[in-house]
Amino acid sequence: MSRSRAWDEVARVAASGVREGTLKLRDVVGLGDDELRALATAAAALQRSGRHADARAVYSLLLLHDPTSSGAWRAMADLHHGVGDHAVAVACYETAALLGGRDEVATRREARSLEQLGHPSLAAELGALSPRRSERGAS
Amino acid sequence: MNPITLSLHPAMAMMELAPVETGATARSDVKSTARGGASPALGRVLGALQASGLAAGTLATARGALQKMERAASLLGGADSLESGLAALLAAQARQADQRTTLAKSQAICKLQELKLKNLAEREQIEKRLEAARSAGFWSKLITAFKAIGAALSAASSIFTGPAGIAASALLVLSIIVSAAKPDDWGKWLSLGLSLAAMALGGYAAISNLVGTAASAAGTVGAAAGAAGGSATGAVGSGASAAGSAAAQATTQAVKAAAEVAAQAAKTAAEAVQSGVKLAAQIGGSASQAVAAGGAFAKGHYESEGLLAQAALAELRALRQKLLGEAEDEREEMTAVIEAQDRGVKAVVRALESYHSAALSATGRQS
Repeated sequence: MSRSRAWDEVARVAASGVREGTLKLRDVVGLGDDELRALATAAAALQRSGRHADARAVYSLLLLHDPTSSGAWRAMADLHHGVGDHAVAVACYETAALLGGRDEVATRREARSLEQLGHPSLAAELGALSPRRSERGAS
Repeated sequence: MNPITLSLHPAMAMMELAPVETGATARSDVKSTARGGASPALGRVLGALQASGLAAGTLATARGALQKMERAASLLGGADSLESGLAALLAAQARQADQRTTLAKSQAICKLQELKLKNLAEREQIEKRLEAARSAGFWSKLITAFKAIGAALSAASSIFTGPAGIAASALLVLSIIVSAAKPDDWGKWLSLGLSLAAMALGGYAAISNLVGTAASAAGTVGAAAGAAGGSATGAVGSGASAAGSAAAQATTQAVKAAAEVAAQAAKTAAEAVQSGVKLAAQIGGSASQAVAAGGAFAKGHYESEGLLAQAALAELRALRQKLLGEAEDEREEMTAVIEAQDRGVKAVVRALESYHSAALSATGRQS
């Protein structure tokens, strides 16, 4: 396939942005909203049917597309919470919270993960950070 | 979603990409994938989706999106392919929208600049949240609770399958630790950079698995290690091309494609580590130097430069010693950080060796 060399300059700008982290893959080869919804639906379906590795792969693709998507991190967290990978779940919940704020359900699940990991006091402290108390916006 | 699609919907844009400019020979083109020539792992996911009871429309859209992302991931493979791949993509998008003019090109550049500014603003918001998290004190307690970082990392490695995923997870947890342990500015930037690097690594690790290379290579490494030995690195290309018989052609092609994707993943890993610490490195500091040296080590190994890798590793170790000496009050935390980084770098190197060994072994069997 031939391509116009006129786009090489644009590509250079895009590539440097991707490399330096100022552009996301989403910005350059972004999926449409309908595609993102379809992928999220597909991942949820895989998760429900017990195909956790496949669901994880799809969520990873969504993170590759937009690494700052709190929703994708939250979905990844829920997946790991559900299968008992609590340390991973906590890491993902915290990343999601950092990117999009805490929401009540996620906070509750993360607290349960912390309890499972043997840190009830930390779980209690996390409860104090819940949106109802801190009035932080949900993602 | 606001990609630089110049007002055209991004759907189908990937379908028009040049097939070989990224070196991803596993996919002769995306159209063939759409016809059913998907990589085994992607095919597995698609098969699972087929059986999941999704509505036909959703299924078709999800399938198309997965194939686009598989293709897009190959663009991240290397220094040369990224530019050419993106140029092909942009040209295809422009053709679709019938926007071939200089005006369209300048508009695209403007759009990119706008998106950069938007992302920087987003990054500032994340920084503020980092400050808030630090002020709340929860993170420092979280880190204290996770002092046994080895156990946490072991669990975290399941986020992304494959050895490169372990590195990704390590970087992710590492970023949380660093942000909690270092209150000054560079620590903040380092944390954010590492987080993004971890995400990039993890995403790419997932891609590698999707195209069916990481899992098979990892599975073969045990048998291949003895045969390949330490000289496996760098032999992939010549090994693959040497097996030129018609009978072996298909297998050779698959092995070569696997090696290329693996090499891309490894190169991306090294680049992600390096780009992730770029901001921190600008500010300076022993920790950022140490992390950057880790990236150089992995990259050196990838490039088959044994001496370079050894030198980089020595530099890395020296920097770490220096770092430990400078941060006596945080020795314990930083030791955990260093150990985590060590595991991450080693995981990347192991992944490289696995890929190379598996490819060499396979080509050896054919010839």
